[in-house]
Amino acid sequence: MAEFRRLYDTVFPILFRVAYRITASEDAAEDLCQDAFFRLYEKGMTFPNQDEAKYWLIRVVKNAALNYAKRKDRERKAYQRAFREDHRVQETGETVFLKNETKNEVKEAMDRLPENLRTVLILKEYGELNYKEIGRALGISEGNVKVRVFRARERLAELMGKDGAYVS
Amino acid sequence: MCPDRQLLSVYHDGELPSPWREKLEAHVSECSTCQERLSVYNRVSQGLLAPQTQADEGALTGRLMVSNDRLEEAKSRVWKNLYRSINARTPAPSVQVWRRPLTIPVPAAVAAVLVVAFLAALIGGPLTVQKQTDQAIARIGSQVQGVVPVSDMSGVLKYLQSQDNSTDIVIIRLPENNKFVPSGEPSIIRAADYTRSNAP
Repeated sequence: MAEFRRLYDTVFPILFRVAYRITASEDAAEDLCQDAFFRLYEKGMTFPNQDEAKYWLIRVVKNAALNYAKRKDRERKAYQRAFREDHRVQETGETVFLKNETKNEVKEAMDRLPENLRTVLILKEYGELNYKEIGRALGISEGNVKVRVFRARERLAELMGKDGAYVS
Repeated sequence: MCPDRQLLSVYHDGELPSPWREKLEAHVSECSTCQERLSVYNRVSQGLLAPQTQADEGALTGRLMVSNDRLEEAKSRVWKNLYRSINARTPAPSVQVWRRPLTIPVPAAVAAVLVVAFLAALIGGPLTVQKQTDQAIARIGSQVQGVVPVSDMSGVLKYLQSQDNSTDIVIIRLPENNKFVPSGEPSIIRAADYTRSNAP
């Protein structure tokens, strides 16, 4: 149990940030993290070292969070269709608002990335993992991570440039 | 000549190893194109790490999306729930094997009974029938040998007279097969009647 607690203390912040970024909900992020740790304990899983357990947990939480986000997105679209709501963003002339919009534009652009590029960037920026750790968590090579992070950044810059954001 | 953009991305992530890092830094300090590209990468990262909503703004610190306080709160809350779930799932002390109740789903129990019945019919059924048939044929065959045929009725009567009524033997020929009709007169009696009426 002491070992489990140590693992929890080390890995929880990473998992929570990643899950929160993907789901945009603290409650959902808490639930997903709790489920992942519970599964690990319940199944009595053993790993050669703490890092391997960390990669397993990241993988589980990442997948669960992506599934959650997809489900929520489907629900949201269904409600929008049902209520025929108009969700177009209203334009304002305020610079402050535009700056906030710019920040949101980055995140919206991020959501438009393909999943394989989005996941590596989330783990890099929110999980604060290095290339090697991301590679181990996703089961891909370090070189592959390097390429995906680069492509994700380039794609984001391009998307934001098209939308007229403040990133040039 | 500018280096590959991917190297700038790797440098931005702090993952460019030593001799190349210094070389790249030396180049970037003199190249406006690479400086611009690096600033794009910085803005992308800052945009991603910015607060998600305005309400979050006050509570957030540094480059993390979730404030440390809220992270700690979430951490202790989740641990509390986790600890409770784990304790609830801890298995009870082991029970002796023979006293442990065994639960079988109804469909499984029915299936097991059917299988046993089928196997019993398969193994026991044909053997029993075969045994009875063999017995009957063997007994009849052994007793009938050497006796005057029933079709020769006069011969039978002569035989009986020659025995001087001392023996009380009546031999009736059995039908060729043993598939008797379940209803009506047994064929065995009719055969005897037919023989007797034609005899004189």
